[in-house]
This record gives sequence, C-alpha cells and structure tokens, in this order.
Amino acid sequence: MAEAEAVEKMRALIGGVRNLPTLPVIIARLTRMLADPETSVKKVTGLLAEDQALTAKILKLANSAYYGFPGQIASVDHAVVMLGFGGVRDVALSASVIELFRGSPAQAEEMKRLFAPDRLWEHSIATGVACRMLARSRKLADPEEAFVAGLLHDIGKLIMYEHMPVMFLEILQDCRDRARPFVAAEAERDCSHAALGRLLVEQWKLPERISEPVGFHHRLRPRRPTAGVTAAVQFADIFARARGVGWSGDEYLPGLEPEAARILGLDEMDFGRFIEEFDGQMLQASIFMELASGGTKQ
Amino acid sequence: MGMVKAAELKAGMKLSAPLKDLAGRTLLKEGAELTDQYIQRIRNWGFEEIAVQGEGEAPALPPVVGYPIEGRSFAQVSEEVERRFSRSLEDATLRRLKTAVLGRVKELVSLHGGS
Ligand SMILES: [Fe+2]
Ligand SMILES: [Fe+2]
Repeated sequence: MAEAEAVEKMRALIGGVRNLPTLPVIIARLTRMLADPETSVKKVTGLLAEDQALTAKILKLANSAYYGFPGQIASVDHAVVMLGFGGVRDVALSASVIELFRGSPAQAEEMKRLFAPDRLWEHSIATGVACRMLARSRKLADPEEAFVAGLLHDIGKLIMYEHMPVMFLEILQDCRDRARPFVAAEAERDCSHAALGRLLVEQWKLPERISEPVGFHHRLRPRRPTAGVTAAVQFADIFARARGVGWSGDEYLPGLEPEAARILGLDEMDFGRFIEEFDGQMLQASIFMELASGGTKQ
Repeated sequence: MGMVKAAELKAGMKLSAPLKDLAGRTLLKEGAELTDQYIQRIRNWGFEEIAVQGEGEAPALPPVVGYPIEGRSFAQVSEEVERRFSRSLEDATLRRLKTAVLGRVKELVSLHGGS
C-alpha cells in the first residue's frame, strides 16, 4: 500500500477537523515537568492541586489493585513517591484520555451494530494490560508507559468514528461482508488508523515513546529505539483479540511480523501462563472499564 | 487458607502466603509451587507448618475474562476462537497461542459454563 500517501491523507484530514479532542493542559505541563531533572515532588503536587477532579481520579486509580498498592495511597505526594513522576503522569493521562471520548456522539443504527466506543476501550485496556506485562518481563520499556501506548494504539479508530463516520462505516461493513481484516479494508481507501492515532498523540505533545508505537503498531520500524514497545503493542493487540476481550471493528487477528516475534522472544513463551496472568491483571484493571463506561459511582 | 505440617508437604502444593524468615525476608513467594528440594529446605529451615493453597478451603473459581462463557458449550466458544484465528494458520506462534486460548476456554467452560 502507498503508506506515505495514507499518512498525508490522514494529516490533511486531521488538519481539517476543527474540534479535535484536546487533553487537559495539565497533562502536557506534567510531561514537560517530567523531562526536567530539576522537578520536585512539590512542583508536581502544586500543579495537580489546580485540578481537583483530576487529582481525585489519580487517587482512585492509584489505589486500585492494578497498581499494586490497593487502598494505601492517601495523597498525591504519596502517589508520586509510590508510582514515580512518570507513573502519576501515566495514570492522569489514562484517566483523561478515556474520558475525552466517553461522550462520543451516537451514530447510525447500522454503525451501532458494528462498533461501540466502550467495546473499543475494552480492547484497548486489554492491549495495555498485555503490553505492560511484556514490557515488564522483557524489560523493553517502562511498564506504565507501555500500558499507555497499548491503551492509545487504536485511538485513530475513535477519530474515524467521530469525524469520518461515513468512511468508517464503509470500512466496517467491508470487514464484515468480505471477511477482511480492518487494516486491509482501510488501506484500500488510503486510510490508516495507526497514522491518524500517531498524529493525534503528537498533537498532544506526548513523547515519541508513545506516539511511535501507536503509529507503527501494524508495521514495525525495527531500527527505531521504540521498536521494543511497538513489538509489544503489536502482539498485545493480537493477544487481546485472541483472548476475546473487547471489539475493535473486525474479527480476524492482524498479522504478527517475524521481527516483532523475535524481539519479544515469542518462540520461548509459555502462552498458558501468560493467559493466566493476563486474566488476573485484566480483572484488576476493571477500574479503567468503569471510567470508559462512565459507571463510576460516587 | 489451610496449614499443612512440614512432614506432610507434597511436591506440587502451592504456598498461599509468602514464607518469611524471622527477619521478615521472603524465602519463597506466595503461589510458589513446592518441589521436593523446596520441601527439604523448608524442613531444614525448621518450619513446622506451612500455609498451602486449597487445603481446607474451596479453591476460588477462576473468573471469566474474554469470550462469554455462561450458558455456552465448549463447541460454541471454540468455533468463535477458530474463526478469529482462521486467517493466521500459517503462523506457528499463533497456532500455539490458539491452543493455549482453547485450553483456557475449555477450563472456564467446565467450571462456569455448559448449556
Ligand atoms: Fe490497530
Ligand atoms: Fe487494536
């Protein structure tokens, strides 16, 4: 496929979208602070104090079983100590991103049968969970950042759903009627959800360590320093579908590139054990699903 | 959790709590599967009783994740799994993954499902 053309087309498309979802400014400021070695805990907590709603979400997530300190984190200072600056940013980012797309407009009946944002989030959370496990066991990247990369990998599909519903529906129908994978159906139309996602993540000023795995998750750039996490996202995506968690628009597993399998050492991997651990982690991550479905009680 | 005397430990049992020395250092992690060597060491360390999973309590059902299981037979769920993998059959790694997924599905169906 003419990949460069698809990227250009996506760039034009996203440029034409007037109300592209924006992250809370605080996330970009946090990211910038984190890159600065002078940053202190005090500075971070001071910044977060400006957004009480976000602080509440951070504390809620940080106290979930998923992060390993259930019910033990009393304050943002404490969260920074336990999760680190990066961890707090990743928690804040995950919560914000899921909420951004929660109020997605209702679409036509036919679309509802083929796609639903909360099912995509389920798929994305599962991908994040598997990606974090791989990053940790393979020592490929910071596990929490790998979770975010997995969580965001298909965000381009949500942009399509909201801002180019006609084309998106056509792709989904094509997948169903001709039993094709999403990637093949979109490529025929010079579209790329991966490229679209990467452009959005870049606009959000998130680091390349996140934007590149999003952009290249169906086609690795083996020479890039981000190839490890990208390989993890590629397999985690396949795994989430294979395990039957969530729905990302098409039925069939996308391709596994030999290079990704090599980076991850999949030849040696005990999939039975991986599944068992994943199932446990996925339950602990149910707190993210609450965010996605808006079912947070309080 | 159930306590089992050191003399009655068997290989294959799993710890239901971490095994710690007096200084609080973890000797064996929770969930560690006992081998004959471990059992010998536990006795040498002088432990009298060890907390072991599943002794004296009903084992917790593994929760359902992924494919809906309730009220479905293994044949029904496995058909769905096969369809998802149907385009990836040349890939040996993914074939292995499929076998593992089917194994898990079978386990979950036998515990939770069945129509
Ligand atoms: Fe994708
Ligand atoms: Fe995906």
